[in-house]
Amino acid sequence: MSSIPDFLAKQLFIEKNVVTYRSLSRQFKIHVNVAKNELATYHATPQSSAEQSYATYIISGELFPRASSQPLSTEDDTQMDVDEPQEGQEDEPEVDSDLVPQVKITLVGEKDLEQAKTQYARIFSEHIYCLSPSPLVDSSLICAPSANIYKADAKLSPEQSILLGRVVGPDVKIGKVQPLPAASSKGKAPATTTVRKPGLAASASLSKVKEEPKAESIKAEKKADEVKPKDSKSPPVISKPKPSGKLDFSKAKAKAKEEKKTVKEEEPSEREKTEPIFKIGPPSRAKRETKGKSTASKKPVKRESSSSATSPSEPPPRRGTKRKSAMPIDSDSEQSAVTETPAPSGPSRSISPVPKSRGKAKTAAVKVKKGIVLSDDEDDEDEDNLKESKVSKSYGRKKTVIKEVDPSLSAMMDMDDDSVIKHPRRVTPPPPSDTEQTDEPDEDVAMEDDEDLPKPIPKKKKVKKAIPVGRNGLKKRRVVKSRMTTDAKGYIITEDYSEYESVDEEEPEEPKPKAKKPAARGKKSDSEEKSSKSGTSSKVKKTMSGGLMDFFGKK
Amino acid sequence: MPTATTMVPDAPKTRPSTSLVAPPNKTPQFTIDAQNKSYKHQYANIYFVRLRLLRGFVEEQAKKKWNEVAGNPTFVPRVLDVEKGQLCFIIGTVYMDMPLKPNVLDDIARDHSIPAPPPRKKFNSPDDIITLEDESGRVCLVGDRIRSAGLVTGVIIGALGIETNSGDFEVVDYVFAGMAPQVSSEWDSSKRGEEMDIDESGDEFPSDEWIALVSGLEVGAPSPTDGELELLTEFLTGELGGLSEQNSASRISRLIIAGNSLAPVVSTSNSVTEEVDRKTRRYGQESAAFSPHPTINLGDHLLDIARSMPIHVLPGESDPSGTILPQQTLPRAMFGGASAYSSFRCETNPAYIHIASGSASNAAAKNGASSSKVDASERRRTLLVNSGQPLNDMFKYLDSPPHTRLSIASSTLHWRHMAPTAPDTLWCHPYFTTDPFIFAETPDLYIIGNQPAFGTKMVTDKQDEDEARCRIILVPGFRQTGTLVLVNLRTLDVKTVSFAAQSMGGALSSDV
Repeated sequence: MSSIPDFLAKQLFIEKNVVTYRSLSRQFKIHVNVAKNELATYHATPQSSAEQSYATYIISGELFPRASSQPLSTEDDTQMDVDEPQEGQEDEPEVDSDLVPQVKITLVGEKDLEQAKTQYARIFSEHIYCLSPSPLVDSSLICAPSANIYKADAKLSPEQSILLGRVVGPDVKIGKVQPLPAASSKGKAPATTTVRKPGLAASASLSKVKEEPKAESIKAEKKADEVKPKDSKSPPVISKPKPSGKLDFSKAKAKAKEEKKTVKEEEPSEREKTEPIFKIGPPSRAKRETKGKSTASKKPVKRESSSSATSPSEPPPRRGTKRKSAMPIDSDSEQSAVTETPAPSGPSRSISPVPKSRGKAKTAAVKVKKGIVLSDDEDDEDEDNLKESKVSKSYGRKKTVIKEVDPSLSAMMDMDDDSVIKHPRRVTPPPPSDTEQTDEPDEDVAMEDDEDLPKPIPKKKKVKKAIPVGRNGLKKRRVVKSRMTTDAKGYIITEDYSEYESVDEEEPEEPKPKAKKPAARGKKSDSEEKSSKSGTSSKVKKTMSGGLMDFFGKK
Repeated sequence: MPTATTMVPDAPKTRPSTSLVAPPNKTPQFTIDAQNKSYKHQYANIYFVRLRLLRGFVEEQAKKKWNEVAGNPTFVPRVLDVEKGQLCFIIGTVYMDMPLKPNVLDDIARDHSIPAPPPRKKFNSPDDIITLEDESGRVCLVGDRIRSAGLVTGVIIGALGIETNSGDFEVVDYVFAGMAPQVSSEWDSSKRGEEMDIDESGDEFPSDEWIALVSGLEVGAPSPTDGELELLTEFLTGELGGLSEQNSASRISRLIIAGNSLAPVVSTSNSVTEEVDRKTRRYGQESAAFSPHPTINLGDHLLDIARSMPIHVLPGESDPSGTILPQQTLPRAMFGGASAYSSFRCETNPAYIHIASGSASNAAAKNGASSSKVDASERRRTLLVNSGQPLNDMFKYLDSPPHTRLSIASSTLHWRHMAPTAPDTLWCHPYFTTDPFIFAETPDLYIIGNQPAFGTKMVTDKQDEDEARCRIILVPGFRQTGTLVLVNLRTLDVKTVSFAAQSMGGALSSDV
């Protein structure tokens, strides 16, 4: 690198730039005070007349009390409003203001330096600010080198910038704004990392992540069977927030068909993918939780496997795989899970896992290329790309990602099974044509029952026809629904169909007047019924709509 | 050349650490959250709530003050129940009936073919009528004493007097709610007492924490002060000047920007031409060598400072924020790189900032011991910062020779209300159940930004045994004055640092 005088000569006389002490300091990584001295040295050494540089100085000190605001006020008069003089009076003699020490820092060209000094009562310091090829005519010109300084500063670590003379406070932190701690404790939450930490912490967490999943993956494969239940359980969980599912329904159906065809083919490829996925899998804790849950609900699993046609064909490891890859997704972006879910949940239980895994297989392929585990929320390939970028970003900040993963996962796992169960029902395809389909929803119900639902008291007498009763003992009710599909020509077709829905225990209408209730309900608009029934089938939703009705009823 | 060489400090300097403390529960919040974001309420609620909340304090003061007044005045709870010729006192909300005050009806009725008159600097006129109202009705207050009291609309006062034959209330004396109690006045009280007598003498300790206040950067204004802003930035980062400046800069633990960081986007054509004239006269040549984008420019400077110290940014009148008070926080992303720092905080426009000395980590470590907790709570300061709109608005109500901005600001402390003219002439959110502009406690520092000139004053109010004291600081706009205000958190001493470029361009139009 060229020496400082050479650099200055080049900047000043060839490139005609202003060189401030700051830009010199950044250029040569020297302390700002050294840079100031260098500028002074250069300026003091005689140059040829062609290379005459002009210096601009900084003077700081205390003004004479009288003159304190004179230079300013002359400047200000032009732009201040009419009553300014009044306020000036108020402020200068400080009729009611305390007198405070005033330090003034003046930027002045060398020509006016001596004159500027005369107004100071006491000069604290004086140094050269910048050199320029011609006298500075505007103070804004000192900003010219700023862009380069900012660029240089961006590359400096805090430690380096301290060496250059920047005073960095201990409170400077990078990260998100933390909410203030509780009233009694003082100080910011320790969660914020200090300036230099983020890199370290992130890398540490990264390595952790990498190690744990690896170990976990082996175990996970072994325990794939146990993990399986998760499969059956998770889709409903994911689909919980799904709104109405009407449109999705048709989509899901199509998928289901397609699905069956492709299941076989996919298996091999999926197995291949298993390994990489595991490597970068979700944090181990999440997995453990999964396992715990799955063991708890083992019974239902078995039932499912026996009842569902497709599941036996699926090799256990694959299921495990799928689970694994699914986890990061959900946790990564709960939001996207919402949008994505409708499709898989549309068809009956047995089918739903398959599309899921299929989608995952695709996404997994993409992701593995990058060496990053991506969440496979999306069934759409288009969204994969999007996802990828998103995820890879978040991967960089693994620390935060991990933090998020656990709570959301556990939240998912802890979710009330009640709420989970109901989904399949509402989405059940209209005519329960074959036993398999009818069975599936029940299966979920069964799971739920095992875990926390009170056994329903079957009241069959009122129901004359062979209305299917779920395994759980929940009755099914015939409901007229309408669905909209877009046909080949692009027209929207609305068709009404009836389907069975199992009636929830908690529903107030459940009791005996089964026949009556549906009738009463029938008065409500179709959509309303659907929404009230299907809308996540969670208690919350129901009570909400109930509350609304009460509200109107009262008025 | 006459430059003395600048020494390089032996060891890198560091700053004293201060941390933010969560506000005590009773501190009002100015954040309007989703469920309060309703504009359907009538403004009358604010007056009702304000009167209800402050009436008790005023009554207490009134009874204390007029207890032994001859004539044994009685308290009449409703202003309309006052009986003629009987000495009594009443409590209510002041309403100033001012003919010159902007009136929406006038605005509608005026002839739109004629350009509107420019907004007035002052509303006051000899024809003003001071009225006092409560839930029952309104009564006119007359008398020289009340006229010179410097009242504005919305203040809750108690008035002692007699109803005259004309039905007016002749005021003999009046009281306000008085300054709110102060909780966090202990920083190092033993030393501080002496310090205040000596005032600006030099016995400040190097360990003292200072904060820097600036307002009205107005980046992007037609006649920019980018040079001064650059100097300000370099001063705050501790790079400018000799060792003495660098030392004083290194004691600054945080920066508060009290509004108007950006210049107003729309300026009247009148002022634009004026500025252009001035600019050409001053500079003689085009000078912008940097990005003209004001937010980028501001963001660069803030990032530069944020690398060195925590920053609090308040929105102001000219900032891209709502116009009604309380102004909500500016979006962080607006500030570019600075937003990556958690120590860069966007505040609401009036904002309470609670600062404790010592770093957060120290505090966390100390928290175990209860004794140190006490210590921590002692060493904290409550700052109330606003960007100047309330004071600017109140200033229009009052004649300025007798009243100054500082006197009005100290009045607000005694009124126990920081923006009484809201919602009359100062736009504010239609609060329904609360009036957050009431002082629940007296802050240690009452910082008002964007004032035409610097001013500061210590206001004290002796109430019973405990004394409330508050330093009012009027922070001048940086673009106009180039002034940065530094406050010592321990002693509450103030000093100013101003930045200016001298003779730049003055005689140099013929250069090169």
